[in-house]
Amino acid sequence: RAAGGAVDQLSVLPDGLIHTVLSFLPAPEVVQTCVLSQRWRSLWRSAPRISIDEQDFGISLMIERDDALEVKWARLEDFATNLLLFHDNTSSLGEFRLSSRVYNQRHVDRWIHRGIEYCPSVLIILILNYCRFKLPPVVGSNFCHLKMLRLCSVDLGSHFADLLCSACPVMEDLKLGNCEFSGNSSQVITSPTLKKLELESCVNNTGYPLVITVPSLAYLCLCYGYYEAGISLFKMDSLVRAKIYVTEYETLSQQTERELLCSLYNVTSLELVGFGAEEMLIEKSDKFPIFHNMRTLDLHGCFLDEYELYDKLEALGSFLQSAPCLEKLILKYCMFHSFSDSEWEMERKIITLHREEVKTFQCQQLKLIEVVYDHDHDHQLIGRLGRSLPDASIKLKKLERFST
Amino acid sequence: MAAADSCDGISTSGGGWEKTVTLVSSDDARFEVREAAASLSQTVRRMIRAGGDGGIPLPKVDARTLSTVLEYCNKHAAVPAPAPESSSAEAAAVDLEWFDKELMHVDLATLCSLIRAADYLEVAGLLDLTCKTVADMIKSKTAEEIRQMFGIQNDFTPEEEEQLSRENAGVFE
Repeated sequence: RAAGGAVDQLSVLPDGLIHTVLSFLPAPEVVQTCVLSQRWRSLWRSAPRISIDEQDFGISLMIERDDALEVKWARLEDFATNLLLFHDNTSSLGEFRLSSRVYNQRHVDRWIHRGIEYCPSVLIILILNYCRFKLPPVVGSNFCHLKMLRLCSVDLGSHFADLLCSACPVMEDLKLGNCEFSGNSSQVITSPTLKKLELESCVNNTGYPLVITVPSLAYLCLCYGYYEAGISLFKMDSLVRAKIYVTEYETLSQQTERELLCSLYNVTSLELVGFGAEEMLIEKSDKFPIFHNMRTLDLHGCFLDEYELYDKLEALGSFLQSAPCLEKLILKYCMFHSFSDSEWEMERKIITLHREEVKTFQCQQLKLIEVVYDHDHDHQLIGRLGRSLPDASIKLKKLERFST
Repeated sequence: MAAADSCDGISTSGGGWEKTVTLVSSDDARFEVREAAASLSQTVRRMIRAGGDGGIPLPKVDARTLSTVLEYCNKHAAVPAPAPESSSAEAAAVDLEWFDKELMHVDLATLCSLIRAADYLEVAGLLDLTCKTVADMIKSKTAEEIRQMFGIQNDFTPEEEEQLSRENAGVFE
């Protein structure tokens, strides 16, 4: 009965390869393949990836809460509950992923509970409500295979630190977005195996500082957030790449920001967004350590605070001197605020550099400075840079900041 | 890669500045490939390390499939630009995407051979690309459309079919 004489090449692939194909399909379509033929009847049950996503049920973030949504949500609830009930649980799962809002806490609790019981290697829980979701109690032994954990909009509860430290022997990749640290004890992220850590817009209001001790960490991304009592990084010996984003609305003190920079002493590539001249001026406090490995420094929206250009360049220069092997410096929209507002334009035009003596900074390996700017007056900056760092060639790129 | 220096069985291009290895398909066709490209295959990479005489035998891949796999590897292991900057990096990504898309314009049998080959050779990017291509063919189709497209025989008895639709209705609808 083969259609058009075609030989069924797909069904004869080994289970593992069909599972890889299925991993690119939304869960409802994965389950639906059971009606194709005997071969396909039970394949979905042993698929190593379970993904429950409200989008697969036509629920989008824009949707209003109405009857149609109630119907869609009911379908999602039935589907997810049955999927988890009928999935073959004899072997541990490759990935459990949940991406949904929470309309019914009891159901979502149960899915997460069940998902974690499969001892997944990858666990992704993205709660799409703005308000943070408190995870149900979990059994630590279910994290024995966990390599990658992503949580979004989750209240981490008081056991998270313990769980991470004692129950995750192979954890390598942790990403927390809009999560809240809570509990009445010190807040720690300690893991001997963690290689990649990303904290995005997380909150710590506990009054205890967040203490991160991850000796194997190779990549760190710290992006905005609210850390009332600061962040301390320890044992960053393995760190290769780091990105630190700050904003003026944050509570990180300048002292904390400086200390953060100092604890990144081993990085090869560093990206900073939103840092001010204040944090980098050496006379303000102790010297920076020598960043022996730093090759690339990418500054985005930095040095926008109220200092004279001269001081800003000095701050930059003194920081560069702590990076003797630096090869490439990128300055993207740094030094000048850019508003098309006329008052700002005026101010920019009358910037004059009073002090003409130019300090030359030693940065011998620095061969390339890439300046991305969106305003011609920034040429002034470039002229200055050229004199301060004579060895480097400067590449200019004009790029509208808010272009569509 | 330094280990390859000690493997005398692996031919290296004499005058060229880039090291090459020879891969031998199941039907004895020989392919001389840049080591950087061949190393996208974890299987080949391990065999380069182990060393050996007269090229690396790949008994599970025929010449036709292997040449497509190597086309993929050559493109994806292209020599990186000396100073990668944002705009050219983007352009390169767009170019790769276009290349991948073109590479997937093959018949179903070839696609399935490529899946097997990518799995055996452990070329992760190609395995994802080929499996995703098949998944996209399945996506948003009815069971009958999927059967037609892949030549899948519906071998359920009428009773089983009835049971299936009952189960599905009870469980997933």
